[in-house]
Amino acid sequence: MSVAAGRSERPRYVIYALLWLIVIVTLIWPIPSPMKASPPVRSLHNAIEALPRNKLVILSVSWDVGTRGENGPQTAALVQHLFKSGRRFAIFGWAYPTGPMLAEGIAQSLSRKYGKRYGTDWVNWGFKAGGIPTLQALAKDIPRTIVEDIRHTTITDVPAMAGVRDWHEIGMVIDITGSATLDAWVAFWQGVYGVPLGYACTGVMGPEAFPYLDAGQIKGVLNALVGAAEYEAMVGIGGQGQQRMTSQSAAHVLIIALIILGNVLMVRDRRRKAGDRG
Amino acid sequence: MHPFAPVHGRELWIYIAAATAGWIALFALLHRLPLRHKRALTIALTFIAGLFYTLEFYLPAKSHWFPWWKNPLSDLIVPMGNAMNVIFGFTLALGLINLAMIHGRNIARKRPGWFNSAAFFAAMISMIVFGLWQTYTPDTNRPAALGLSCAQVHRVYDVLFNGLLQPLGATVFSILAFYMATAAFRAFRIRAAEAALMMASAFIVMLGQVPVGRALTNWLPAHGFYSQFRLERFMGWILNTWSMAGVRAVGFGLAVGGLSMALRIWLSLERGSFFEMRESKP
Amino acid sequence: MPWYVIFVGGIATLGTYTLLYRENSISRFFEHVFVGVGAGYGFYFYITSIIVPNWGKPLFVEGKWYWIFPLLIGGMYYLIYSRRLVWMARMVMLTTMGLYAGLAFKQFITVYVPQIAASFKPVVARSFPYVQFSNLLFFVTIVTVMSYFFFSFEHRHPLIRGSSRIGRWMLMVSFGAIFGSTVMGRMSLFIDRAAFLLFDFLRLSPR
Repeated sequence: MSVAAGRSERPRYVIYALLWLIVIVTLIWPIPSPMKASPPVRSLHNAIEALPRNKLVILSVSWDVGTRGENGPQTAALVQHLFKSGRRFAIFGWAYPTGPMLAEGIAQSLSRKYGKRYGTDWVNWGFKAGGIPTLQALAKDIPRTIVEDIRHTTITDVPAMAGVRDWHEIGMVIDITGSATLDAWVAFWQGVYGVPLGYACTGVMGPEAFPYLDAGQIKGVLNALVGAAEYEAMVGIGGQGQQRMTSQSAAHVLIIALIILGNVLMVRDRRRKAGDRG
Repeated sequence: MHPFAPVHGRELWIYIAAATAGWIALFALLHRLPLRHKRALTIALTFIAGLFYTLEFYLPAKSHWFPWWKNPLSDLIVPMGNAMNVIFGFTLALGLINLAMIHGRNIARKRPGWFNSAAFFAAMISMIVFGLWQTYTPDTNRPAALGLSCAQVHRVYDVLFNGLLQPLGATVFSILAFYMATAAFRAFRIRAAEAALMMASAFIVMLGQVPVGRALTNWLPAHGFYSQFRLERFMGWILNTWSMAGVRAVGFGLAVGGLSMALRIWLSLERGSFFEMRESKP
Repeated sequence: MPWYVIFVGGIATLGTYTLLYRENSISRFFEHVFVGVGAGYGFYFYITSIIVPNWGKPLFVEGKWYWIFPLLIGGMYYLIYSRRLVWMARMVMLTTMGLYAGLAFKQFITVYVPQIAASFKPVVARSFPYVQFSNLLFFVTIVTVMSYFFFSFEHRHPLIRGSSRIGRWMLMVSFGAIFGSTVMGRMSLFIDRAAFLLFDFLRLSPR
């Protein structure tokens, strides 16, 4: 790298170093701050609490390793709530093959903490391709579509699946996603059969969830890591969401400061150029 | 006996061979057709395929005037979904073939950095082998093969999935945070009033989501008119009302565009070399 | 997680982060490894989750011989690599696209008709002034933003031009909200990695 090129890269390295520094410092020395749940998060929590206990909840894990930082804590918070409230759930993936395995790891470690057993309290349906036709088939006949769970047990032999035939036995579908999968659930499950939907999304998808919330198509939204932190506070558990809020705050303040600084320097340069010309 | 009744043993293989031979014979015959007939056949099949879900939706499930009526397509939803699941499952190697061709060429021609392509193959083959192996072996100390025990096979898979795939995938996407930070300094210039409005909205949303922003306005009363100006409430109002309206309007536009695109594909009105099935030049 | 898994993960993470300094052989190596394990994972998972239970069992165990046809149809996708037989692959792909296009009508009606209905909010009603103001702002925003996207005719009439201009301003609020949310999302991804390096790899603990 030439000297001139190195000099022009210096601001970039300073910014990178600043980001590393503030995140590391705030992770090691977090400032505990109680999170109050926003209305969309409270709505989702209350919708789950109102579910009949004999119904199964589907956690549609349509996320990949790239969005683990947001969808991972959301999945953990939802799984803990379902364990605490004694509701059976099924993990199901149809967008990314890694989703069910990632959720399996989270659910397994939490099941040990809550004394829950795989097969009785929760089941992992694994991954199915085919997209929307598969979702439609799932609504009409779950055992024929899923066939085996992720551990290759025939699905009808899993105790948690006793009596589960189709959408009638499903209390709610919660779509935990980093991509545009909500439309399919709204179109082919909520819109057709009226199955309640919850939504846990990455920050990028967050604002796009509110039209659905406003129309009553989803019961509530967890938006990014903040949504996970608020949900943890509602459920009364500690988790990665709340632990990382100080770092999140610091990172946001840094971005705002960088935008302001960049614009201040732009105004200063403009005035200098105008002064040179004048 | 019903032609679609299950069969086993030698009979099954005969049926499979006959179905495969029939399929190949059919397409061998169709291959002899001129291109315009192949195009017409494709257009017809595309239309019929699109009719399935369209009619399944539009035809009533039951009829008041014809009590015997039942939508015949509804019973085919489950077999169709299962069939699409399997058909897409079989296309899994398409991407792999492309990757293998690119990286194979790098190795064969010893292009600079060919060892990276070798690392790609090593990683892919290890994941396939150990992934399949650990799926069908129990996690015990029983010997498996190649001097490894079943437990060791699971450990190697653990390294590949939890030690490589997860951290690498998460890290590659996390690099965007740094690019965002440099873009915030270098690129986000407020040169017009519209940009100022956009930035103001962004600042409110960024601060309203996090504890530090909420702390800035927690001196405002928790109830009443002035509580609406608390950052988290104001941010919630922006997301639920103002921003939501804009996003919904954009969504309507996208939906109508998507619908028209779907119609064009269904009716084969779409243009382009792929859709028109032009012969590729030798 | 076992120590050796965390160790490999930490080295892979730090190796990939060398990209922040500049493009180098270490980060390129780890990128290729990532693509390799990702491709391999998809391949084996499809076999164990879909091919074996949803195809292999019905065909070879239950004896449903007609399940050979999905293999034949799926196999036709691979004819895209043959110049002579590529028309068969295109035929199968276009048929599949036609099948999915048929879903668009149901999707449009079940997703967007409720949203269109929900957009008719009372502007003048017996409710708090704040609610009336919100509903009025909502109405103005949605109408002006939609008018901004009318490309079928020229924006000549002052009413359309004005509405379109207001719509652009209203869109800025949505874009700002999306940007703010995106920043939040991206930072979370990095915070997750930093937490892994600090607490799992280096075995530090928060004070």
